[in-house]
Order: sequence, then structure tokens, then C-alpha cells
Amino acid sequence: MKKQNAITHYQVAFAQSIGKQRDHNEDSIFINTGLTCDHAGGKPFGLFIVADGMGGYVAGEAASAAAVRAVSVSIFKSVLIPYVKDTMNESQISLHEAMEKSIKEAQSAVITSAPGGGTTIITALILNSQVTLAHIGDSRAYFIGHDGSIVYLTKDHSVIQKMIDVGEITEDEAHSHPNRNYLYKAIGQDQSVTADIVTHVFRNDSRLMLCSDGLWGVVNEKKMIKIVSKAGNIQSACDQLVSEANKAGGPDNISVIIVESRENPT
Amino acid sequence: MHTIPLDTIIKQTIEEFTLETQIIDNNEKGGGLTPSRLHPGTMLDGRYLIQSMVGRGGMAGVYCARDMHFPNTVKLVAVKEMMIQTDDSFIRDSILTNFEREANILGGLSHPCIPHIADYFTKGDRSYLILEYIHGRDLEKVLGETEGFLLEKVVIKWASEICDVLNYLHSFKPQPIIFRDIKPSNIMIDENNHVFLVDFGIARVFEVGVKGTMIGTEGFSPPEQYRGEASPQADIYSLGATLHYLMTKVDPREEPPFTFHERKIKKFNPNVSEDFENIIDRAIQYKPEERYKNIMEMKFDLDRILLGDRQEAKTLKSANGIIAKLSTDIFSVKPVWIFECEDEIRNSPYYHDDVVYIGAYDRNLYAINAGNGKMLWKTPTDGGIASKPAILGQSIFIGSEDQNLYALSIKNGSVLWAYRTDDPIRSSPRIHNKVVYIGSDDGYLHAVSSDSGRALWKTEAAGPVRSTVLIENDRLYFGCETGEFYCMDLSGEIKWRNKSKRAVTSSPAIFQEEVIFTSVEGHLYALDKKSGWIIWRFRMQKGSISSPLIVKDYVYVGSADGYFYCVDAFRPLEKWKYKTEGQIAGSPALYEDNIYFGSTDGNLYCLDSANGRMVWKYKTDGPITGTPVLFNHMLYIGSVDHKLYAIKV
Repeated sequence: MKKQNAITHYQVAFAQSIGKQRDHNEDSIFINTGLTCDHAGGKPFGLFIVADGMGGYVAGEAASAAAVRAVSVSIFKSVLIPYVKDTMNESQISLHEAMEKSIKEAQSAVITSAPGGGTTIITALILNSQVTLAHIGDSRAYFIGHDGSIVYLTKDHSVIQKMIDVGEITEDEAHSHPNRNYLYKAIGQDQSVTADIVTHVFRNDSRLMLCSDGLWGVVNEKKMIKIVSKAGNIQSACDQLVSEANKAGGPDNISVIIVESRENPT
Repeated sequence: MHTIPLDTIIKQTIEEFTLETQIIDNNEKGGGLTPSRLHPGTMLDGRYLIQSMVGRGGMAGVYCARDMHFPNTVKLVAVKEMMIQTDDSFIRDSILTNFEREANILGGLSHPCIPHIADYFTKGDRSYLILEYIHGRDLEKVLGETEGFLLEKVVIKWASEICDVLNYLHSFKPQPIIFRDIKPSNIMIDENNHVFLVDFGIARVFEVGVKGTMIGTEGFSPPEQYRGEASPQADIYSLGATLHYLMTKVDPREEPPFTFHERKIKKFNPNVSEDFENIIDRAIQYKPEERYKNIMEMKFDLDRILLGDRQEAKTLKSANGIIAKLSTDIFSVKPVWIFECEDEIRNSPYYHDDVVYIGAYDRNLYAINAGNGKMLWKTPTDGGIASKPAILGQSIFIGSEDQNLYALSIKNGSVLWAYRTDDPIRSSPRIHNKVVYIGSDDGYLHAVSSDSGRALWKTEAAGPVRSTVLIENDRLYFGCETGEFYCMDLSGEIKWRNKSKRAVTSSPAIFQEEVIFTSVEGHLYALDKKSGWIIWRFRMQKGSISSPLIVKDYVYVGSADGYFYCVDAFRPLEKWKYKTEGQIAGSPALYEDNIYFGSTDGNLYCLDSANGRMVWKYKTDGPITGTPVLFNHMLYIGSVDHKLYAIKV
């Protein structure tokens, strides 16, 4: 009789709001969580995406939707379907290469179907106990620990972030800086765009949060941590975060996804 | 959310932080403030007859004029005119201070690549600098007028000359001078293809620890210049940024700041040699401490490409007589002792309790006193030894090409038992819970009792197993010569396998949830250790059998392409690489922040693990294919020259 371990799987919650000052939603999200469980054990996986279309463009919402569709289809084809089928072969590309490919496909999808539009994107691909992130723009990913810790997993492609990097302004000053929304990198805005791609261990003691700047732009880090760590469950955390952003004026569309790992003993 | 064009962003950013730029922009925008030019035929100060305007920017104009003090010959001078059209006394003082600074700095300099200053004076609201006239074009123009790309050798020659002149400035007494504005438009190329550095308007005398106003040119200025810091590393960065622009034709002023690493030179211009690309990459590192330590170090690397001399560093005499001497003799590295075997040493020593154990192709396993290099014992096998020993208790285990895994007494080398496989053993033993795991060319991974030498199990791989097993959390990871990579449990049951196109001879290492190894196909792989899925792979130019070493968040590994790489463990991103003249087959060792490894060029290298700079190297009389072992400030390494070296570090 073989010893059976606990099977890990990923639970997800999300919330979205147009906000208080916009009349339409330019954010798009994608959520998929799965598990294959057989004699060889459980293989959890998940794909989560937040994209924030550019408000200055008519095609903002079309851009974020096209990017999310292109990335999700691409990742399913090159990673998730082979992963579920358990077919790894010599020509199998790496997760990082698959992410790069998906971003390229999103770029051409936006240029074709939403010309003039632009979008940010944060993609989180979870396989087993690792999460691979690809991001462009200023939608973010964090690990928020049960102990109240926070880890920034992405760095915004914004002018303001560059200014923080070189020590010109502090994080606090950035919150009120007039140029805080200016991005120098976005999907659909250039012929070639490269994403920041990185792989982290999904920490059991943490929740993964993806969000658009409609949330982090008005709800500060302390409040985010407080809400996420005190909420009874991740759905309640998402709802409270969105409501907090709206309470703060809701100047932009708000999207948030929270993922946590659960262990089911077998 | 909205975006605005990048040039607008940059302009806004500069305006907020750059007083000088703001002044110029305001004047340019002012329209009515644009001052009148000096027309050809104007006589200035009763001496300089204006011929033509050769350049103009902001409040300054540059003219070509004839010096009428030499009526019988045509002596041309450059007249730099600075207009001061403001009532604001602060701005006026600031402009005058800059102008005088330039005049004073130039007045004190004497270098063939810096124009001589003849005079400076102020007339009303205008100040003038009279300078040696350079017959030529600035690099911005040269680049603009070049179809296709500039030739690398030509650019390297210019760069080398710029290094000379920067070295002159950086070593200036009593205090170094930092140019602070190296960019193509400030570099002139004369008729003889020599470089001149022009426009010392913002050069400043460098005082350690003193912060100044941020000035310079967006795109060419280093990050620390935004904080008002100026050091020689700032000029190194700007020179690197200039070279990047010259070789790629991608103008850094039109790109996000500090993003050179996102625009690999070869992507734009495949003709650029890797050596030159590496030099530029090092110069434009974000952190000053990761750039060249000084400009002559950069010049040395540039000259090395020009000379085409990759074997030995040479004494180089530069145009202005400065001598840079870098050669192996400056490293006072000498072995404490050398032990000579009867044949090649291709593998790695093992240190245990003041004794160094090493196998050789003379078929012997040697035990040598680590303090004095005297042999304690040797035991012959019937084949060459390519395997590194392992020790458990009073037994030492070693594989031999005679197909046997041996257990010997560490006291006297007597054979305790031998376990025979069907083909030569070239993998090294690993021990876990009294079980010895070893691969063989017979295509099996063998599990053998360490006490008795009794076979516990063997699991078939697709080809010969020369990779040494990694044991972690009750899982065994190893590769084989047909390219398969395996994860097995401790009973030999395969949990997953992956396949690379060619042999996996290296031994894996673990980083968090990833297992990392190299393949002869030319990749460094990071696989998910639970599923074998490829998380990322890093492309090297040739295959590798070097086993990676992981320290903190970086992977250190060598390759047959001659490079030693430091790669980010979270993504396939090179942090630095170091070129040797041979292949790197062995693995690195880390000791007190330095990385040690050997190359088939015969050298043992010691590099700073933070930035890949060579600390020293030591040449043996044959290729090095093994891995060094370090203990108690001593390093032990074998060479194909038959010798085992003990070196104090």
C-alpha cells in the first residue's frame, strides 16, 4: 500500500467594478483553475489574467479583451493541454518561452482587432507549486502573507517607477505624482514589446493577488493587507477590496483576483 | 489610464529635475528670446573674422572664424558664443559660472584629443570661448550620414581614444575631472580619423561625496547622475551608452531610461562581436560598482579586440603615453605544494579530515596529506578514474573505468568490496542512508549497499549514465548520454522523465522547486522538480557538461563555448559572463564571495561572484576539466598535466 500525500489545489475568487467615475469597463480578466488527480498524485494548475485597457483610447476595452483572449488561448495550446495530457516531448517549449509567445500573440491580436488601443496585462500561470508571471504595464501581482507580509512580484512599467528606482522620488510621493499613470510599455503600443517573466514558488502561507491600478491606485498597501488577512475567505476579501476602492472615489475600473492553495488529504 | 509619447514623458521628467535643461527649453520656447546670430564677415573683438555658423543649441552658438592676428596664413578657430538674455540674476550667474568653469577647465588641460583654448572674454550679454578649430564632423553627424552600420573596428579605435582622453581627465591632479556629458554630438572625428572631446560646459571637478545638480543628456546619463552624483563610472556609462547607440543606431533618448539590457546589441546589429558587446554591456550596467572599475580597464578590453590577441594580456602603449600593464605576472598566486601523478587528472578531488583524495588516469586513487602534499597511500584499479570520490564513515567510494565501484578503507586504501557493472563507470558516487547511488556506461543507475557492496536495485536509463545523481527529499535526479533526464524515488521507480536533444552529463542542482542542469545541446535547463516541466532554459553558444552551482538567487556554470555564466535563478537572464580561452567542463566552487573554476586553456580562474571580474588566474601546464575543492583557505585542483595543485586563497 503506497503512502498517499495531501493533494494541493488552487481556489480562486474575484471581484470587478466599473468604479464611480467611468461609464464603461475597460478591464478584462480570465480565470481557470484545475486539477488532474490520478495514481501518480495530484497535478494542480491555474491560469489567471488581469488586463487594463487604455482609457484614452476608444478601443481600450477591445484591447484588454483581445489580449486576454489571445494569451489564454495561447497558454492553453502550448502549456495546459500538453500538461493535462502529460505529453512532454523534445520540442516542448519552456514556460517562459510559452509566456513570451502568448504576449507576442496578444500584441498582434490587439494591433489587428483593436487598432490604436492599448492594454496592460498580468498573467499568472500556476503549475504544481510554482507560479510563473508575465507582465506589461502597471497591473500588479502580490503575495499577501497570512502574517500580514506583502511581496511585490511585479514592477510597473511606468515613468514614476523609474523615478523611484533612481531615487528621485519616494514611494509615498509617487502616490500623488501627476505623472503616475504614464506607462512606457503597453501591449498594442509598439511593434515589439517584451514582458517581464519570472517564476516563484507559490507560498503556502500566502495568497496571490492580481489587480489593476483601479485598486492599488487608491487603496494603499496597509489597507490591502488588512482586508486580505482579516477577511473570512478570499471572496469576501475581493469584495471588500473593491468596495474600499469605490469608497475612495473609484476613479478607475477595478479588478482583483485572489488565489490560494488548499491541501486536501487523501 | 492613458499613455503619452515617450519623448514628452522624458521631457517632462527632465524639466522637473534639471535646472539647466529647463532654462534652455524655456528660452527655446520663448521664441522672442532667440538671439541674433553673428553673421559671416563680423569681426569679433577686433581679431576673429566670423566665417560661418557650425553649430547651435539652446543659448550657445559655435562659429568658424579666422584669427586675423595671423594675416598671412589662414588660421581658423572655433568661437563658442554664449548668450545671457535674462534679468534673473540667479540664472545669469549660473550660466556665467558654467561658462567660466568650461574656460577654466579647458585652460588647465593639455591633451592631443582636447581642443586648445586660445582665449575667453565677455562682451555685453554674450561670452565667448576661442578654441582650436577641429576639421571634422561630430559622431551624431557621422552616424546619421552612415548607410547601414558603422564598422566595429573603427568604433573600437575611437572608443579606445576616448578612453585615453577620459583617463587623462579622471587622473587629473589635484582633482579628477568628470566630463559628465559623453554623447555622440560631443565627440568630434577629425580628418585623420582621430577623436576630439568637445563641450566641457558641464564637466566638473570631482570631489568625493559632494553631490551636484543633475545635468547631462537623457539616455546617455547614468542613473546615479539623476541623484547628482558624478564619478568616473558616470563617464564609463555614458561612453557605453554612446557605443550602444553607435552600434545599434537605436537612439537611447527615444527609449525608456536605463533599458539598454532590453535591447541586446546583436539583435539590431548581428555583425557586432561578442567581445565588444560584452564590453559595452559592462559599461552600461545600472549599478556603478558593476561597471568597469576604471576607464583603463575598459580600454584594455577594447585594445585586446583591436590587437586580436586573446591569449595573453599585453603591455599597451596608448596615444598619450599612458601605459596599462595587465598580465598574469601581477597575480602572486603560487601553489603551496604540487603532487604529480603518472597520468592525467580529469576529475575532482575530495577533501576529508586533512586528507585530499584524487583519482587519476594512471588508474590510482591517491590519498594525500592536505598540509604538505605527501602521499599517504595509493590504490590501483584496473582502469582510469574519471570519478570523484565520496566518503561515508571509514570508507571511501570511487568508480573506475574498469567497470567497478570500489569501497576502500580511508586509513590505508585497502579494498573493502567491489561492485561490478557491465561497462566503465564515469559517474561519481552519491551516498544517502547507507546506499551508494552511481551511474554506469551500462545504462543503469545502480543502488548498492554501502556496508556490503550488495546490489539493492538498478534501473535502466535510455543510455550511459555519466551524470552524478542528486538526492533531495527522497528523490533522485540525474541525466543520461541520450538526453533523458530522470526523477526517481529511492526504490528506483521513475516519477517523471524529460528529454533534451543531446546528452545530459552534468549533475543537477536544486533551486527552490526547480532542478537545474546543463545539456550538451547548449541549454541550461530549469525544470519543475515535481513534474519535470521546463520552467525556463538559458541558451549558451555551445553545449555544456559543467554542473551548475547555485548560490543565493544565481546559477553559476561553465560551457564549452568558453564562457563562465552567472544566470538569474528566477528567469533565464544572464547577470554576467566571463570569457576564457578554452572550454569549461568542470564545475565551479564558491569560497568567500569568489568563484573558482578551471578551463581547458589551463587556467584556474578566481572571479568576483558579484560581477564576474577576474581577481586572479593561475596557469597550469595542461587543460583543467575537474572542479576545485576549497577548505580552510586552501584550494585543491587537478590538471591534465598530471598534477594536483594546492593553492592558498
